[in-house]
Amino acid sequence: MQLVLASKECETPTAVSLEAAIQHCLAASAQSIFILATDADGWDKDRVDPVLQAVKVPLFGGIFPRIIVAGECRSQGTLVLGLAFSCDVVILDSLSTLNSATVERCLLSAESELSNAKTIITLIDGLANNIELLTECLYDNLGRGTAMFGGGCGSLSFERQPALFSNRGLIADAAVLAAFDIRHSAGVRHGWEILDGPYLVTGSTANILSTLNYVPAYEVYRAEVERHSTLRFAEQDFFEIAKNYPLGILGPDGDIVVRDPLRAEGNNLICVGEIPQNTTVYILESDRQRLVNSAADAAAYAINSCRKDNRNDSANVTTVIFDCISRCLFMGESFHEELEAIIAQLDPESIAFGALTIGEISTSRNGAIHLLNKSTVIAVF
Amino acid sequence: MKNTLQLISIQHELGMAIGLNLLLRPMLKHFSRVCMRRLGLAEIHAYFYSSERQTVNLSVQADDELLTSFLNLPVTEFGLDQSIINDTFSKLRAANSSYSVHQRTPSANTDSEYVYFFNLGDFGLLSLHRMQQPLDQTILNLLVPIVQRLTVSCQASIEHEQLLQAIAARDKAEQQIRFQLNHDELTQLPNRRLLLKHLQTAIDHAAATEKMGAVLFVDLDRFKSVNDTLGHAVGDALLCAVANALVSVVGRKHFVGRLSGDEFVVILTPERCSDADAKVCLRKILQQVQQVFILPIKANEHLLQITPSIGVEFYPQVAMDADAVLRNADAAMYIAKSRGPNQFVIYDRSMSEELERRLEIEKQLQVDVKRCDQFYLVYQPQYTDAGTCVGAEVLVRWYHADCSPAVFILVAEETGLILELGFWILTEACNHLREMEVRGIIDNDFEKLSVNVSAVQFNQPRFVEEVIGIINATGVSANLLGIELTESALIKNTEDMVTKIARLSALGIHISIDDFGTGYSSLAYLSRFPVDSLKIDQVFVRDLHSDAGNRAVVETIIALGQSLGISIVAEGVETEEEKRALVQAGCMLFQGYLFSRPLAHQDFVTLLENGSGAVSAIPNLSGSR
Repeated sequence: MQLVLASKECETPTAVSLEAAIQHCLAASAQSIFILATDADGWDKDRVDPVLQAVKVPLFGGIFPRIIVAGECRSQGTLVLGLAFSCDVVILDSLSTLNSATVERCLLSAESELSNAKTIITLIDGLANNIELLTECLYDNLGRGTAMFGGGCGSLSFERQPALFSNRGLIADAAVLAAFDIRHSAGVRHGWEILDGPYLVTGSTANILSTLNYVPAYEVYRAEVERHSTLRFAEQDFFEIAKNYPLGILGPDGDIVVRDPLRAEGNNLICVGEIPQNTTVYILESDRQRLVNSAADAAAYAINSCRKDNRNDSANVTTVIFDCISRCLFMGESFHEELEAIIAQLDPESIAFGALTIGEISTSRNGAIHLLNKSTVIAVF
Repeated sequence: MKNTLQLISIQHELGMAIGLNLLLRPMLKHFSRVCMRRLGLAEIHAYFYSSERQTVNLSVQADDELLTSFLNLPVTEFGLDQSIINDTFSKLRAANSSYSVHQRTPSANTDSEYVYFFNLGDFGLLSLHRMQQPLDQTILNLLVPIVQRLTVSCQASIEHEQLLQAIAARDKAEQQIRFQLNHDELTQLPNRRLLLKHLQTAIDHAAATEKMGAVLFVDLDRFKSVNDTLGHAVGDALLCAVANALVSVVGRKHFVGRLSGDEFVVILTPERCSDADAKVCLRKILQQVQQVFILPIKANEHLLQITPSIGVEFYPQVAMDADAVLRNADAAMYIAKSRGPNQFVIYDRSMSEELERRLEIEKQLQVDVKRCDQFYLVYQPQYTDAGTCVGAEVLVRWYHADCSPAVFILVAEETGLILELGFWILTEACNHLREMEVRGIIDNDFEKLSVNVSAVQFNQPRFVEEVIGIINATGVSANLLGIELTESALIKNTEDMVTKIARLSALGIHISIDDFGTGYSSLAYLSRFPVDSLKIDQVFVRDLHSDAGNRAVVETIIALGQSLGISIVAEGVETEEEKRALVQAGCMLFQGYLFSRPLAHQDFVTLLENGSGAVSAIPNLSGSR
């Protein structure tokens, strides 16, 4: 399916350049605008808002640590895509302070925009709280007929800044839902395997892990990682070690949802995403090749699903990649191999773009929507 | 070991997710969300016996009652058909099984769906839906005790909610009873009980804070006519409209209640001000209240021009409770009413004396009506413009020293004593008429002797029989007798009225409509009843020669009479100018002081014996009835 009618990279990170890129897409009769920008471009509301507010078609997008343009990872630059389909853009503000009732009220008020959507590209402030509450409420209210994918925007500096593009301008602490009436096929993999465990989560609150097997979580984590490696937490930055040994929540079928420990606060581990109490967790490990293979698997699964659904028009396949920034940090210089492995699965004629995200979002095989870490999400239209 | 820990953790997490809320739906929703996440479910549904109001029952209320969907996650999915649900439920109960499994594969390209049914005791069913892969048997086994625990929690929640509903229903019923106890059913305004309570509180507060308030006792003028002529439904609608208007005009700051019938009370909240200021405030509110009645008030399809009589009493007064303040306001209202429509009067002590006098009249009247020798009749002659006496209107007088007919007849009507008094008047008038017939002093010019009959009397079921009885007993010629009815007696316009009038008319009795033009009636009844004459009320006759409005009314009535062949009698003609104007308008018959004052029986006989002419009027007479 030809999702993209036109695309244009901003020549410089200026309002004039952004406006020119948008106008280029609109001239190609784009029905909606999707913007992928890098944090390094330093977009701010003063520059961006007047340009975005002047756009008359639905507009959405985000600022990410890095973006993927034509199969390449870029740490600088902004890509404007003119899409062939219109969409309804729904914004949920104040994400960090929402509760279940307020999310449901917001979704109910946006029912007409969301209820018939087949695909929702979900972009969130990756540093906000309540992301899993949002994904849970989205599934509760929209059901199995709507598939979602997306990721978390923001900066690797972990400073909270407006990072979501919308017709209202650049916004923060929000979720932007772009609802399309077209289907996609998704493949999701992470490539991480069990190193040690299981551990019973005996103390946790949201994304703060306090105790494992009734022992302080950081003590357990440090002891086991140091037992399996030569790395020492006393000698190195916490995340420099932790990016190699994420935690994994075991599902009923043996599948694992990865949780990245970002930092240690006292004896607590602060993770990206919730770790519910009484779940079973493992310490995971991987290597470059396993991650590259998993990314290729994700792409292959998405392509095959698309073919199975008879939606494969190979000449016009559009692939959207949301890959976790911490995979890039883990692989370092070799990260291009992962992107090459993904592109290798795709038809040479197809268009591929995306971003490296702070947390990934995807509908799971059973229908529920999950917040993922250290994962690759491939969506094929 | 690895698997065991996972199973324990699942069992623990699901177990801890039960019963976190006392209410059924949030309790189940929380459990379901944890269950979906932990077991990788696509859907979860709960089914119960529930009424239309989503009240869940623990047992079947009717033989054909079925389980219905109570909770769906996601909300967009509705689970399986009701027949499958109820069939599965029955089978599970019959087999005493903990759960059953259904596998569905809707089409070749879609994933298999595994549905696990668990009975929630005897009152519900839980279905867990999983895509692609079935749940492991060990997980199913651990779910059995979890669901048993969930069942206990559901039962507790249902019983808790039923208890809450019972309490809420009882609260509502109690509130309703309390409301009914303190409010008027028709207008929903506070009733006497609440009003007195509020007034007492206001009096106490005013006394404690040295403020001054006032009570307005509002009574609608001639409301009874509305009920009598247009029916109680219109009367009720009018009361509601007045209630709403009063509430809107005095606002939330003050208090409006309905005592009974057409009696409303407005309690003006105490203000910190001097007597003079209080009276200025009162005048302002009074004007606002009276403003309500300036335009016609809509009651059902009718637009009714109604006026209030208002009595006012200030509070607090020394050693005076709510009953006393209200009684004084009532007394002032009564005085206002006696002064004519749309009046207000502020209470002073003399008014209580006047009321006491009225009670005294009532008491004396009750005694005298039994004896009847305390009353006598006088005759108001009726003339042609040529000065020929053609009859008279019979009027009753009471020997009671200082009580006018206007007062004692009103009291007689209000107390029902008019029935006995009316019977006596009719009998006495027929006796006199018979006597005049026997003496041969009634010539061809004499048409009739007219007796006023009150609406109360006329509406008695056996009124016609009474009249026939009197005619038979006295031997009077019925065609010399006339009956004067007010509009309010006639305008019910029921078949019963038509029959009564027709029977009287068939006897030869003349029927006149008294005080014509002052009622609420439509003119339609004139064509239904065999009316012989209309009497133009003296209000319209007054200054007829110079009052264009009155002239227009009179001319209309006369034209109406002419077109229907009904004779017209003008009442209360006092000047030559009025008479000339009436003649010019086409009126042929008159009564009033210009022609003659009311005459004692013997004087009237003399008048007839002499043919016609001036006869000295009897002294000490006032009023015209």
